[in-house]
Amino acid sequence: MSNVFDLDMIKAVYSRFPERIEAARKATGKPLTLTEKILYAHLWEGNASSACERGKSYVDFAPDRVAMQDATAQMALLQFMQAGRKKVAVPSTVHCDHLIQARVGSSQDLYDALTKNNEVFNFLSSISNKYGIGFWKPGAGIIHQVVLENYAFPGGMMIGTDSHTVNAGGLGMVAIGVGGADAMDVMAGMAWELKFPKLIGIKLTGKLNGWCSAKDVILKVAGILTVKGGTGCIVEYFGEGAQSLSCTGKGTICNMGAEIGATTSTFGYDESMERYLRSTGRSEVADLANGIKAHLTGDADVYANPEQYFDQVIEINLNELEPHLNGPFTPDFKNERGSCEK
Amino acid sequence: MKEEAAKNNWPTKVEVGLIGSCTNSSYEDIARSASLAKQVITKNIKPKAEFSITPGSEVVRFTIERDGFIDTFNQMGATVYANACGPCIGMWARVGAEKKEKNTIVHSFNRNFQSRNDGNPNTLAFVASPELTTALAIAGDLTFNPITDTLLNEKGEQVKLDPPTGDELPTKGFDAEDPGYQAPAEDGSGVEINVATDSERLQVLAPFSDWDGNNITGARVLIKAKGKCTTDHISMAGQWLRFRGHLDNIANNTLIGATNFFNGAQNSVKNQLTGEYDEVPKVQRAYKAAGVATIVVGDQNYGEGSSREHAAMQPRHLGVRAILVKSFARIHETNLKKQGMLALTFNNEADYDKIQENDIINFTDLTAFTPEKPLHLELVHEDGSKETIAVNHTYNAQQIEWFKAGGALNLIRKGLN
Repeated sequence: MSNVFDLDMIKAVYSRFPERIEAARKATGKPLTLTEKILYAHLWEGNASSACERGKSYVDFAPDRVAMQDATAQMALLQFMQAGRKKVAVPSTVHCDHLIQARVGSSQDLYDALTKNNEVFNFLSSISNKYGIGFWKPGAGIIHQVVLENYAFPGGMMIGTDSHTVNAGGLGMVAIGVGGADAMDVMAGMAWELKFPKLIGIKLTGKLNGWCSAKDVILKVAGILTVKGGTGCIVEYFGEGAQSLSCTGKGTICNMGAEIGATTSTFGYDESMERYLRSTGRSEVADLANGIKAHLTGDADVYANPEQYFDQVIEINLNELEPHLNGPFTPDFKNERGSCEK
Repeated sequence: MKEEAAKNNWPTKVEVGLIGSCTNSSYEDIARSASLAKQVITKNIKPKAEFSITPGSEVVRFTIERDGFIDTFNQMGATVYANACGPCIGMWARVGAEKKEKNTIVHSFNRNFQSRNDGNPNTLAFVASPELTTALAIAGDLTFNPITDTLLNEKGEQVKLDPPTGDELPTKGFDAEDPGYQAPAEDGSGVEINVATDSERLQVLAPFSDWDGNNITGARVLIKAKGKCTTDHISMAGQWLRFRGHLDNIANNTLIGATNFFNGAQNSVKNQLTGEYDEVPKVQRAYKAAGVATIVVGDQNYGEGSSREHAAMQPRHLGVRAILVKSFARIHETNLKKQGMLALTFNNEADYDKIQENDIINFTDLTAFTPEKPLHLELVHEDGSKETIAVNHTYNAQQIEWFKAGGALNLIRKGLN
């Protein structure tokens, strides 16, 4: 597990970060949220020449990577074959996770899926091999978990052909779910367009205890914002409570940001992310991130006075959180239960 | 919870608890859940519900097996599914789901929409942390509150579950014998792509033809869609998803969910070549074979829903030339442009009413297609009367080049060769 994927790409992204953020500061004339730093650092035009208007401007971006699951990858890659390129323009991966039916248990179910979908897996394997795409075989894991373990990096920007691509926000990325045509464009070397999002800041105070976990944070947020409340927005979590959560717990929170309609969610780089990077064999990435730490989180003034910089601010005290049991039929309906404290 | 359940008539018996998925299968989640599963043994509790784990990756699965958690779960009778989406996306062959009985399950996944997990519309799925999911599976009771309530164990004693504990990360590190990765070839130029010519699930695409430089004339209305026409109406999901890699096969669902304004029916439109009503894809294939151009007319927010490109590629593949609507969902409009289709909106929304079933439509100024200038269509009605309407578009200069080239891909390919 000592192999870090695409380390040169990460180095290149980090080496241009300071200059890009400097340009963004000039263009906007204000302290920056983490979300803005990542977005402005990935402008297709390079250094920002003017401020983007939240919720209004359509902006061209240059994502660092593309991830595809096996159902949506098929048409994206069939189209890519038509593009006439020898290789994908940015690091890309395919993950076989959608075509395995859970029935009796892992070995038999995997065997059945291989039999039933053999030609699809063969196609994806061969086309990945041809065009320089990393291929994760059936049984290797679920796209978002594999991305978090291997590819996500603080301050990066990626797109993925699945709505829960947003999971990579747990490692401080801006990771966004898209359709196959968008993935195809980026793999073919074109820009990716997004309406510059509005920003929701969620300040977490306190610390989880007892029966409460990261899941309860996002179930609480879903109850507040409902399934539509995040539409057109990126959610940025901050505060001592955010830093007290594990990296994978942050991933859970970002993952279910899809359930409130958010474009994506993210957290600033902190020690939990450093621990996770080192634990998953990516100490080189942790060292690189430590080198530009200040750029990988929101500015102090933003987190001290969030109302001035976010379009909406929510505060949640983790000490007072309760174990949630949301449902049925919708993830934002909270049923009343007791609190975490004994 | 007791009151909620009673008020809504929810079965309080928990049939299945499911943990894992991309949302919640970290080492920490599994370790903390296993600390509860362990208490089943140490406190002599008989778990009441079925229980399953869907690990998020082989690295997680291998590591939690090495550290003994799978064994612990097995002692509570758990099933370990493949490292894949499985039950979270409805890929779950749940025994008895076809009986459609009302029942309650709890999981730590991300979505719990009706019918999502097991296909049974009467399964009530609740979402909770993996820890609470595990506790509720042990108790088999939706109203169980592990903080305050006790459970009756096999010895007849009332016991309480201790709060979950577990390491955030494995102290011995992550590991896997084979993480399941295939690195691509350094030079892939000699690699063959495996697609059988007789496959029903995969089909290599052929480039769409470029614009011939002339006004589109003699066009027929394939369908004038009434009301909502989402990407699901344009390209239905469900059983059709198996053809998502085969454009010609999946095209057989094109617009079959849309409602025909003229007869109020779905998947029934007039074939002007025969005067007969038939299925939309069949009629369109007949027009294509006869070399007759067609237009799809739609209502507000046409193409809302998913970003799937099939909804734009299928009409294009079948030979539709333009989509003319009151308004578009933006992503679908962009997808249409990318595929070399004309995406147009009525300058005057009320002109939607002017389009009649037997109209012949002629573009009058497509040859002067320019950014920010409306186009004009001549409608020749059945009674011989004619009228001209203005239609708007949002193509910039680059996107007009996409149209001329027959699609953005054709242009990319030209640029590279």
